[in-house]
Amino acid sequence: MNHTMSTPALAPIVAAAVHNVLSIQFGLVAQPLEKLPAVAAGYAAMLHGTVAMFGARVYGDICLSLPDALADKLVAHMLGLPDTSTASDPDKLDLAGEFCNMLAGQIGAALTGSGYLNDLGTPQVTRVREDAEDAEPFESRFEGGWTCAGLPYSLSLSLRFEPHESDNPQC
Amino acid sequence: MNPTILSVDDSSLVRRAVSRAFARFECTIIEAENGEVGLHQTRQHKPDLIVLDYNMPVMDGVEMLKQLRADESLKGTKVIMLTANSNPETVTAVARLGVREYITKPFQEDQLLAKAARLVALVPKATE
Repeated sequence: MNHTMSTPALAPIVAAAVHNVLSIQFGLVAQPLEKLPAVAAGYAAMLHGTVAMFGARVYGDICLSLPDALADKLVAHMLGLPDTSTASDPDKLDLAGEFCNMLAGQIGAALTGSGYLNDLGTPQVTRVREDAEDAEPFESRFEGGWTCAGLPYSLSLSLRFEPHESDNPQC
Repeated sequence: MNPTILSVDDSSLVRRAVSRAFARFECTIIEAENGEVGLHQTRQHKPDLIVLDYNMPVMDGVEMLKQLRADESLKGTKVIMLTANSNPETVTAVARLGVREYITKPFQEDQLLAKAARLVALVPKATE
């Protein structure tokens, strides 16, 4: 029996997650960007959601960055409000966490399906990015940008994949 | 008698989305932001159905379920899990606690209502 397990390609997993969450929960579509969106002037206008992923063979963080204006739109679509409505600050923070949570759930399920069983932490949301640099180099990192309703956002994954036992017979 | 439905989720947006889904039916919706508050609300209001998240601060959904099932007067309460977490161990733990309806976020209102309608009687509100 062959137990060899290759590291899964993150780009198609993330693309599917973004598509599913935006279309099912918000009734919106995402357009991929060739380059990561430039950070808006001042972090105060950006929301950052992070969900920790932990498992025996995969662990790290899933981080989402989106502007307040997109959070306004997503809150409106989630609650069936007029597209031009403005969300309260607590709702925008809540949205950033829940959006990241849903994306992490989709990504986590896909990695579980690839043999990398994992669990997810509770979403953490900030207005100022606190983790500008990783504490250690992660072997598999993904960064992608999209626009939704004309507004840019980005998603980054910093994950470490551990080889399967049979790949490392000394363990 | 109209059913009482308890939505337990740390996201206020999700709770409101759940309330919105049931708003066109004759039912009473109550909310809780974590399992601990959810247990308190359950003891106080005896809901016919609980829509329950898993990952929550203070007390998660599985712990709330365990305490619910250990309480003789509440153990028969019907539950739908509504969570982004599809970890097989969580799904198995929830199934062992008697929950057969599991929805993975993102979710559509119709999906939630279809599962809820299997567990409680949902009567549409009369149109004015």
